[in-house]
Amino acid sequence: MQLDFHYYATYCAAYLSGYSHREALDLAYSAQFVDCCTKTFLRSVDATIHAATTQTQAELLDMRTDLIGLQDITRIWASFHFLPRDLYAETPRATKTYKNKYRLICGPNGTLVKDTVELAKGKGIEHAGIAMHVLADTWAHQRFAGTPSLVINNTDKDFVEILPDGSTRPIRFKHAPGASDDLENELFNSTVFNTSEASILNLGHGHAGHLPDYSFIRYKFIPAWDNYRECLKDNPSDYRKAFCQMILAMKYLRGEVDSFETDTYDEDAIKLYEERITEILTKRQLDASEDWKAFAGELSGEDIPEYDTNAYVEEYKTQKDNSFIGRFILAALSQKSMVTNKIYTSKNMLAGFSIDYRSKGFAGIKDYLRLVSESVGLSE
Amino acid sequence: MSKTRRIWNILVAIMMIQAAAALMMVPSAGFILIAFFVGMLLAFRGIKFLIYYVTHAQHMTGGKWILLVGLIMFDLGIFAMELLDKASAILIIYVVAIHLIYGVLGIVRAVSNKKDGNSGWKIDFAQGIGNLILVALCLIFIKHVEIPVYIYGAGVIYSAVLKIITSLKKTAIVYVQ
Repeated sequence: MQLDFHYYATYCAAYLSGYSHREALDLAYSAQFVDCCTKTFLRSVDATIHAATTQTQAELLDMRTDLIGLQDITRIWASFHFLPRDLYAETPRATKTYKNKYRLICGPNGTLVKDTVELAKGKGIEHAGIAMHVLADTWAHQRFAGTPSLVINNTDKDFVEILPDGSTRPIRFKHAPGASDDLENELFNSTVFNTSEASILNLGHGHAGHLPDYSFIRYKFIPAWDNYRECLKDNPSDYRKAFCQMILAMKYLRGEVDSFETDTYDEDAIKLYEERITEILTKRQLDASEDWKAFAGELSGEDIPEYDTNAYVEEYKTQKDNSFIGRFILAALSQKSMVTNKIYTSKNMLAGFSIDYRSKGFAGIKDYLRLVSESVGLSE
Repeated sequence: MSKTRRIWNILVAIMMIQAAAALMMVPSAGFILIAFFVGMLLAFRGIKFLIYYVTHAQHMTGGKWILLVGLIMFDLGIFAMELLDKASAILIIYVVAIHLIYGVLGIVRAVSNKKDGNSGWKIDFAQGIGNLILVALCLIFIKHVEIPVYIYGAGVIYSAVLKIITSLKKTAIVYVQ
């Protein structure tokens, strides 16, 4: 997913779930900030790099793909963009190392989504924003894993788009970093095939290009791991479900519903706007920001400002932990810590070691001390 | 990283430094050893690919590529080991190819990092230029086989130092319920 959904659509979902305009705006900002909070950004504001929620292409190229580097990459991408669906999934004919990667395949309605939403309960709006980003991406990024792996994230080259009238059109790929996709000629950018299992070119949905990030598209392809089975990716349907699930999750965070259960969607909340939302989700365009922004304005009667990554930088420089970015950093550390722990306790070392403070005391990366003092302070 | 792995990595790094220093002290013998090692490395990588095909990639879309790459690498490695009388040529091709790739990648990274406002671009740029200078040195002194031996040795020492630094870093993530 991209800015159109993580910022504008998240604002709409937050507003429909009952948040005020200001709260919805902050929540949507936080959801989009997950795609901008890189180590480069954190260094520029003199904050801990361990709170990074994403990586730029240049940062990825700079990473050493040794054990430590791969664990760092996996922690970031599995925690925030490719939340694993089932950490105990079984697959036939598989070695332990293959299984560990297979178990990181992202998908909606897994137990970790529930854990993510529940972790955000009772915390600030920044944490709720992060949870909404993670939840939404489980729909868009399903069938790919947040760890570099050729055997999981590779695809065949024969992608086919299914047009609204039911006819099909072959999708072609080019490998030109930075170039934009050409909808008219069905020519999309994707990463080049690389035989190295742990190459960063084999991270996430790179081989499918930005197709998972466009709400309008329906297409068929064969993922590397599914025994040559062709799968249908119906983005309009998936994005609609993501939208309705976000509303339900935010109602839970606000205390309007008692629990957040997976595979449940707040369809009633969008009944009045069904046609409008479907129109936006199915419109053939690379960026739906303008349409979502207009819809957001219709909902709240307020003007939605353009997203600006540096909006809270000055505040952070003077107020540090008590600022928006300060609280976002804490929430990001908390989410990363939780997901890493779940992966580690499933006897999967791809995200590295996790040390439980309650049983082992403090050890490990010292920047997590802040998370410990905050959590211990909250519980005592 | 577990303690055992840290200790193992540091021991390997120390052995790498010792081996590199030994090669640099006797470059006339060093280049034959390196050429043999390059051949072994290729053959070993080929075997790794074949194992990877059997354990991971045989049911994967496009998995046949892995099998093909493995076979070719293994074949090339064996071929290189057979040609030890041409050791200096093998060594020069290997060192030039490696540093040329790293040089170009370094500059691409620097451009990208500069665009993103990352201050680390200067280091990437310097590393890229450094690698290209090494390529130039190899080509200028193509008749002096000790030059690629020194360059190769320095590269091994650099990797070993990075291995030690990585092994000493704290990496565990703290979890609080």
